[in-house]
Amino acid sequence: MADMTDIERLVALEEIRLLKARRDQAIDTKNWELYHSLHAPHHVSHNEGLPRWEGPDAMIAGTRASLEGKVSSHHSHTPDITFESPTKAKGIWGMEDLIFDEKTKELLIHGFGYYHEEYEKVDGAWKFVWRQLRRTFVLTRDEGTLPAQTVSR
Amino acid sequence: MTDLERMAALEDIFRLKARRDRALDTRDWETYTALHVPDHVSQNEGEEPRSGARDNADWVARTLKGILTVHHSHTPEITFESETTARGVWGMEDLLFDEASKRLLLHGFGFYHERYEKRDGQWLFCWRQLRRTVVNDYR
Repeated sequence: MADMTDIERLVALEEIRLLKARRDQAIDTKNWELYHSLHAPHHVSHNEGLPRWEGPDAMIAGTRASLEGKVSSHHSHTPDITFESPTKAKGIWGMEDLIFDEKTKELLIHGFGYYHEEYEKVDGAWKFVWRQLRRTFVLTRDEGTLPAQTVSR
Repeated sequence: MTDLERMAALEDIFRLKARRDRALDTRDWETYTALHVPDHVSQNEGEEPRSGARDNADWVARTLKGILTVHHSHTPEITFESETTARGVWGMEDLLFDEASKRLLLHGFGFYHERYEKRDGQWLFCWRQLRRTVVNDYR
């Protein structure tokens, strides 16, 4: 447990939750400028089954490519955040995502899992420095595991 | 309790809840057991009450064999009865899938009614009841 007072811990928790909220919002609105600003220059994203993305530029290039022509919805829940020091923390968030075809609105992916993350306070602001999505379960159109859908009008 | 004490305790209870949902969905029964006091009681509507943290975890593990679960909890309403006892109500949604076929077995909604106790400096579950509002059972 880091050497922090209760109030320091509470304020830092709120800042990290805000960081997470902005990240989920930035990815689903494809606001790549905001997305970039939430990550430290030495950030690494290493999702299971995907290449390791070193630095915000590589991560955004990879994320943009995987969401080309698609709309995403990312929801994050019930964070488990622990501090290693007043400027370093780890977090685990429950997550659910839905990926749709932008034109046809067809559901392509419906997934569940946990975001394992690390944060650092850089120049007074908390930033992501590491993230890994570990899925528990995913349904995909390509595998034919998504339930039959009604068509949107 | 002072505002600060209450807020710090709230965060501890939020994290306890996060760990319970995660231990359940990742089937980490050791962690699951450790989040409950030894004399914990689970009393879900329509089920026999189950006493004891270990026996409860064993029952849940047996019931969910071959089933993959997703439990999401939202918007907690926590009230303190003392510095070491609290009650909580959480909105919840759960999905159960057959692990082999990936078929959806159940999609449910409702509220977790819970009680917590601080023992030896740690907040733990001591009672829980799932009260469902709607459940679609496809089994």
